[in-house]
Amino acid sequence: MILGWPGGGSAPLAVGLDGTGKYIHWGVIQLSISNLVVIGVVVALFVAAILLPFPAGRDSEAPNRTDPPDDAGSQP
Amino acid sequence: MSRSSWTGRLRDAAARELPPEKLLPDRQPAYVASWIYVFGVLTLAALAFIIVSGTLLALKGPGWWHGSAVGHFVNSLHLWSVELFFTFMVVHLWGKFFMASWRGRRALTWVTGAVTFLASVGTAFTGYIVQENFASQWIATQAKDGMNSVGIGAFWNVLNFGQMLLWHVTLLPAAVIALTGLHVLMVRVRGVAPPIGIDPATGEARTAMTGSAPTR
Repeated sequence: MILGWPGGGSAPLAVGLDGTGKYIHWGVIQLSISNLVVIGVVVALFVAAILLPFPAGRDSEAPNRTDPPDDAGSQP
Repeated sequence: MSRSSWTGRLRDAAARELPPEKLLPDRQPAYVASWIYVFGVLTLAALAFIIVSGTLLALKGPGWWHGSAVGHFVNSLHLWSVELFFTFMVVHLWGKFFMASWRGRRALTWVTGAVTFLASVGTAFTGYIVQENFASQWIATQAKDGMNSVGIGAFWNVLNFGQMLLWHVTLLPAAVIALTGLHVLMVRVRGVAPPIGIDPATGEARTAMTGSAPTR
């Protein structure tokens, strides 16, 4: 698929933009496939952000932003 | 000690609410080590790209962003920064919503974030209108009917390019930046919202703190 550039050249595209868009219809709801894909990506990102483990950092053992005194956290 | 001048009182209040270690902390609670807590700062990073690329577009004009290779690149950078900005902001919004992040006197943090989202929608909308191409003409003529249907078309005329351009490059960005600044300051003042069931003082589950002794 080729899209004309203002400078006269052309650039290949990964998706076709010449035809009409594809839509799904569900009652009064009309949604383009491209928008549905974007929504799916955002939902997947949200789920991944909750489920994927976060890499441990240098201070991963520190439980709090407020550092306790050196002798306060010791357990008998 | 109460001061007589408003500048002194303001300085005292600012120093009390935002001491340096709170304004620019170097440590965070353990529960912040989660990907869902990353999306606020990702949104800020995307906003920085939007501001820089948008400033370049404003300085150079539509002949540059439509007619030169570098202009195309900066134009695309602006567009895709906006796409990422909204993607990150929506994930941030969902995370904070399901975390009920208005808990712990964080109502103003939540409200400034929600209003920033609305202001961002308006900023993006006016941006699509001022692209200076067929898409922007199509969007403007379609939106005109929408604006008229809710009775604001006379005040917010999407076919008035000059008005939309000024909304997009001055008024709305100023609102988004000011609201974002206030939002970040409120996060610093009240702290990062803990997950539900976590004691912010200890970073541990509340059931372990208030329930019966843990079994071994």
